[in-house]
Amino acid sequence: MIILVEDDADQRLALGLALKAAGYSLREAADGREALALQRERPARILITDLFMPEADGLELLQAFHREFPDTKIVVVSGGGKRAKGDYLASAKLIGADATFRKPVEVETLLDTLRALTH
Amino acid sequence: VKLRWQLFWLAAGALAPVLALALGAAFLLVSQERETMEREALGRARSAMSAVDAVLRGHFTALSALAASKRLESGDIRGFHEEAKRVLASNSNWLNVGLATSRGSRLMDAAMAFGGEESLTGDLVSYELAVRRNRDVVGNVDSGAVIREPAVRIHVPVAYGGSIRYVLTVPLKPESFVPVLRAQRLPEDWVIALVDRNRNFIARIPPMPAGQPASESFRAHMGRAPEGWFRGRTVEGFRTYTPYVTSDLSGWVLGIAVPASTVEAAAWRSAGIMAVALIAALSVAFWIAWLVSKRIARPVAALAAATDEMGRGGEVEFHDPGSIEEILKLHDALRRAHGAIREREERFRVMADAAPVMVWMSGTDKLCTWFNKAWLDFVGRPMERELGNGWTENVHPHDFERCLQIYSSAFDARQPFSMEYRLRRHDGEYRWLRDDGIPRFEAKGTFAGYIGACMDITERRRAEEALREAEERTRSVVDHVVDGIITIDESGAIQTFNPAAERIFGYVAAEVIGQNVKMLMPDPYRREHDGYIANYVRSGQPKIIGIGREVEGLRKDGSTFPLDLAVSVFHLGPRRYFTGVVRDITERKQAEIALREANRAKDEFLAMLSHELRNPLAALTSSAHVLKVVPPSSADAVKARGVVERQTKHMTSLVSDLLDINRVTLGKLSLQRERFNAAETLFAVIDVWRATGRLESHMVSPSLEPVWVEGDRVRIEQIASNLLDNAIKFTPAGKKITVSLRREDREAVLRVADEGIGVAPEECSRIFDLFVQGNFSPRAGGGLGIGLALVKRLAELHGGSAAAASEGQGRGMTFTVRLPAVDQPTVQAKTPSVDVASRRSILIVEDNDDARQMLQAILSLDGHQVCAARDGKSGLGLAAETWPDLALIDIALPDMDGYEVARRLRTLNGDRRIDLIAISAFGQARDQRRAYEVGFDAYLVKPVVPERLKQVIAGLR
Repeated sequence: MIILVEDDADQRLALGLALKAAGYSLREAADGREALALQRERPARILITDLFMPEADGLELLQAFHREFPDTKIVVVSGGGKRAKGDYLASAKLIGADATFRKPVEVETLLDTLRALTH
Repeated sequence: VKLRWQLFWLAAGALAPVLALALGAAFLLVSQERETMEREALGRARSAMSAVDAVLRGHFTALSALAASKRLESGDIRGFHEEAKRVLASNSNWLNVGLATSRGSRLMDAAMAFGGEESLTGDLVSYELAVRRNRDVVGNVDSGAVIREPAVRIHVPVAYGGSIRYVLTVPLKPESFVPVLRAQRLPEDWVIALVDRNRNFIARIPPMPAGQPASESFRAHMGRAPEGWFRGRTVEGFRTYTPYVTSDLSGWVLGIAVPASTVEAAAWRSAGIMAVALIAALSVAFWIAWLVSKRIARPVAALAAATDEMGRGGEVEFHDPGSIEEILKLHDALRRAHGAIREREERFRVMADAAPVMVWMSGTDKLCTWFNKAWLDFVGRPMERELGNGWTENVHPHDFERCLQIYSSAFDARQPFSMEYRLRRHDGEYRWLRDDGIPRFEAKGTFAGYIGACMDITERRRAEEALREAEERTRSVVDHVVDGIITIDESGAIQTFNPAAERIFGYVAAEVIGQNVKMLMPDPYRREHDGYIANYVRSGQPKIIGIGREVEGLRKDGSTFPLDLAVSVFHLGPRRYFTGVVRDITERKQAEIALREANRAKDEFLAMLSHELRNPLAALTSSAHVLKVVPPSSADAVKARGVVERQTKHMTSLVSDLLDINRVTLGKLSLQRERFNAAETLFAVIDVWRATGRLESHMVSPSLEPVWVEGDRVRIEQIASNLLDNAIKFTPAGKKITVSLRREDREAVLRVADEGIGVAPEECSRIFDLFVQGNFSPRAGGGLGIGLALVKRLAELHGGSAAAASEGQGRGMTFTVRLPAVDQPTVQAKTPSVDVASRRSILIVEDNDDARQMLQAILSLDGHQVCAARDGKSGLGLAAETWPDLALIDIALPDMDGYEVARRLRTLNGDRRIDLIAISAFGQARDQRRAYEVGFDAYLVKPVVPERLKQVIAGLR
């Protein structure tokens, strides 16, 4: 079970299709708040999230997830900061992300990571 | 006055009293002599008179004897007559003897016969006197009745018994007195005269008739005194001195007239002697004076001549000074003075000759009289040639007039002068001289000419000139440099303040000169400045000197500003000065801020670009994976293809915008103008957007009036798309976006108004700046921040404008684009559009498989006959088989370039028409131009936008 958080509809759609094609069951959210709601409703094993989304900052979401659902694996896929300040992926790792990727990530690589995380 | 005359008058003066004494003595002598003569003459007169009285007494005695006659006494008159006759006869000098009674009756006259009694005649006065006084009386010269010739009568009264009875009268001959006079033996020119009481001559030598009146002067002086003398004239008219005596007996006067010449001769003689003596004395005096003066004057004149010569500076000879002590002293003094003058002159000459200056002297006639050696050496000419006006020959012709004028006018005013002129040196070079002349005056203030000194100031002038030039250069630099230059002294007082400093600080120099430089500084610099200077002066440790520093300045208007300050120190004598070079760096600061801002914007842009490119790539990557793993016809594949299509389009637009903004920025974007209805174009854009679902989350309401414009249709679409994109990005879902187009005057006005987040009004203008975006929103909706910049520039390229307006954050935004409107064309041009019906045979030559397949798909879907090749050679082969009438050729092919393919196709087709479209990743104008040159009909930049491709194909038909 994966919760995919991505504000861009096309990206969400495409990655979602890819993950579904790989056999994952998937719930999608456009922002952090929605994702948390979904998680609380029914916790997923894996959270794949973009870092910058509307409503809640990706890092805040990470913290909330990490605190609330420490067992959930977190994979961050980021397009990079808009303001070129700092290394958000490094920050994400510190906060508790299990894997981080810079967009665009090869789906195969992502699937390998997911497999590794769920084993 | 000459000395000899002085001496002469001296001697004459000494002689004068002696002469006066002598003159007095002579006068005394003459008068004594005259008195002596008078006395002598008077004595003689007295003795003569005595002799006359004696004669008269003799006559009286004789008569008295007769009177004693008895006959008479007895009255015997007759007898007495006889007696008387005898007596008469014995006295030859008696003329008669008369007898009369006391009563005057004539009794007898001896000279006549006796008889008769007659009255008396003749001198009755004396007769009566004799009777009355009863004494003997002498009468005056008279002529009687008896004796008719002149005679003097003597009367003797005859008394008897005391009574007079008779009077005896005897007339005497006047000549009877002549012998008495003659007996005096007087010199012949003298006159002696006996005069009666009536002043008539009795007797005279030389003779005069008796009874004749005496001279006027005689008559005038007689009677004043019994005796005396007078000066007068004789009857003959001779001038005489006459002493006279009066007789007591007879009352007669006897005068002896001495000729005046005889009396005065002595006086004249004395006077003559005196005159001679005087002349002699004066001559002697003059001679002595001459002698003495000669002894004094000659040596004095010689000394005077020597002194004159001394004055002229010539050779002086001292002659024998004689023996006078004073002159000897003068001589010696002059000799010493001469020696001293010679020495002094020599000293002056040596000094003047040794002096480095050129010295000259002139006389009262303006002519030069002397030049020193330095002058003569300078001009290389002898003294004779320089004297007078000779020196002016070497004066530079240009300076000559001025020079002479200064010299003459100063000379006439007896004023010092100073002039500069060029004088030819001995080597022919003209050198600048400074010539200072002053008038010379002798001890008593007499003007004696001029003396002047000249110096060669050529080098100094050059140095001054160079200095002036250097100063001028420096001043020019200081005055025109853009940096403010301020000099202060150790106290901080401003010494100089250049124009740039005036501009920078807003003060004029006069306001700040002398003021403390602190006035140009705000705190804390103002507070600390004195301490800085004091510290430097004390320790010599520079804090700012030699080091540029950024500080703050204070303008006159109180505003502060950043400035660069560089301070250097320099010394003038013992004083230290500081020069501060200040530069107002307000603009630089602003530029730096702007640059930082631009840099930040650029960095953000790059981050943004990266982000914006990663996002579609992410979607594309995922889609590619999906397409790979799902069946192509499955629903997921369709969705994935949809993602690919959208994201490709998105990326294309991103890259296009980037390329476009670059071209616009560089001015290389060319518009393909046509006249069209902008409303139709906007409808088409909105339709496409609607069709692609991009407007689904907002309420977009177009309100478009037909307005015709002349422009590049594609660019107008771009403007509309970018504005729409922007509005969607910054407008929350569900809000309204209004797109309107209307004609206002000569303009087509496009407005895109949203109800989005808006911006602060003051940010509205910045919103069009390149790379600016997203700052205004916590949720930047993506994009590169160049869309609006492109809108503005494209609008401007069309001769229009773009503006943004907002009432503030959260209150929406309205963008207005104004383009020049044109009239609707009379025959409406057919809007190029893809006409599926008009099929074409198309060849695609593209090595990139994706691109080739995409193109093939797009064109095939439109119903065209399409064949494709992956390189030039196979492309040409296909063309030979299918004879296409349109070819899309990639410029960058593996075997040959697109240009070559195009050329060969043209050759292959010959007269057959074939349209060629170039496809290139290069969008530069250069590439396009080359393509057109080779024969391409159109040029498309990768990635090819299907709509655009369709338009181009349609346009080629």
